[in-house]
Amino acid sequence: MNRFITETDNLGLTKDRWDNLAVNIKNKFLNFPELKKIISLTDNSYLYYFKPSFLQIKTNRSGMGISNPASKKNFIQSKADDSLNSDIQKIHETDLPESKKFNNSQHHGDVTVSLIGYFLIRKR
Amino acid sequence: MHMGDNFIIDLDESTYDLVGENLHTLSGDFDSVKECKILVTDFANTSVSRVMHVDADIKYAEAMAARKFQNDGDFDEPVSVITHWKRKKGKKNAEIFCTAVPSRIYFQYLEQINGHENLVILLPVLSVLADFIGHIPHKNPIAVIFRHGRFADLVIAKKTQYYYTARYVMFDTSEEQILNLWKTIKREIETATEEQAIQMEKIIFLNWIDTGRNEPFFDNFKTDCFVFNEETIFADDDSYNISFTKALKMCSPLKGIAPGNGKIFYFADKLYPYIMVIFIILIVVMSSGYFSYHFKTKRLRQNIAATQQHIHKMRSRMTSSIPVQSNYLKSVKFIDSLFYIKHMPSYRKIINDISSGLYPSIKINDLNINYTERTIKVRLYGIIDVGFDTAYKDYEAFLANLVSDGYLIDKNNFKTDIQRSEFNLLLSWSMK
Repeated sequence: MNRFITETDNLGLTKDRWDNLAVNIKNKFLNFPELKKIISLTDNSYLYYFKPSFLQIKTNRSGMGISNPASKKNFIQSKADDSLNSDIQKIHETDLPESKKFNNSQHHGDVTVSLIGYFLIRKR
Repeated sequence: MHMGDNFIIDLDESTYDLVGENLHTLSGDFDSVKECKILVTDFANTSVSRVMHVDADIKYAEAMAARKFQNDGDFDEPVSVITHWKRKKGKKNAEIFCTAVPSRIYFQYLEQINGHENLVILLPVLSVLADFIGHIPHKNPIAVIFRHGRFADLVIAKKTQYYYTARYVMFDTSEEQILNLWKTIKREIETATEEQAIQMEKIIFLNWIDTGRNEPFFDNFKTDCFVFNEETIFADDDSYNISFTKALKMCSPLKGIAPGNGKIFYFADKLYPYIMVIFIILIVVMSSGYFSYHFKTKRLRQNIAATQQHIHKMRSRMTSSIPVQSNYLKSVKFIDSLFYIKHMPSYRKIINDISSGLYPSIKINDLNINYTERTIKVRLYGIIDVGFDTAYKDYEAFLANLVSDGYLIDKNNFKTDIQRSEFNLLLSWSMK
């Protein structure tokens, strides 16, 4: 038991060796690029972990929503506004090259977002 | 020393000091008497003994007897009655065997005893004879005769009943007088036997230093007669075979009269050596008990101390192990949470899983992702803005993609108005 504790301590696997930063976004109006940016930051990285807890995304305008207009695989876009298609597609093609595309809108406040979780960052 | 071995015998106007087997004649007073003594007396021949019937309650028997003695002319002065035996006979009748003594004489004796440092119990001669009968095994009545000097005392009785008593006096101790005495006694015994309708079992003779053992009465009785066991008594450079002293030593001091706390003092004095022995034994027992107890409690205390020390050590170990255990559990929990965070699908992964399965006709207006312990709940609300035939086909394909990505469909609500459809979907994902 003591050995385990020592090892975990040496490896930094104890709670006191990590910082805990809470994220609590409530009903925030965001456009798609902003949403995409935020979502991408909640991925785990070599610098930190993100512990997700709750996410809610609501489209604000009628007919706008998460969709995939071009293919069965790659896109999420608003079909109600064709002018957004290219932007959305552009966003997804440029920022999410890993084949997962996220619908976007240049319109400010395309979606209302609530997001709860916390970052777990190892102390240096 | 045997209880009752020390006596002062006041008999026939002579006084003797009996210590064991040694009899010494005293000068007449008791001042030279040392140690605890019982005074045996015939009250200087002033007493009269009798077995009588009284017409009174047993508790008044002595008073009635005293009156009877006076009425019969035995005394012309106040008398005190010493009871040797009495028995209730009906409601207002009693039988009593007693000795009446002029009160003047009686109190004189009591005062002598009270005033003496060592004399404590007064024992009438008839009390000795009365008690002696109780010690002799018999079924039918027996007669006890104690001759001393010019006198002979007779008691006819059995253990539970006294029949007759009398004192006989001779003018002198000549053979003729002695022979007449025995004739008289024989006649008296026969008369008493006849009157009381009893059968005499045996006649026992007690002798004294002035009476030989070959008394003529042996020839005069048909009943079994014998001299009671004699003992050799040394008196004034001579020795005697006497049975009265033997009877005397058999007598219980309780039969005596003790002014004040005489009997208590007597028994306390006699029991003193035994009390001392018992006391010493008690001290030894208590001391050994104390040391044994002390030893045991010492051992017990040592055991308690050792146990307490053991408990203290165990507590110390437990106390020291609690933080270790606590740290261990905290570490395990934290590592587990890191594992969970690392392997649970991120928000982006879930959004990508959903979007990758979407057909162009499907638009999602509301997305909820809720992380619980090891499960993720996803709620989707969306619309499909094409005709029903295409909409439902696309929707089914969308569901199929989600299932293939590892999601379970907990709730699936699809509504359509032909041209446009809506769906409400509840998915779950669990870490395996």
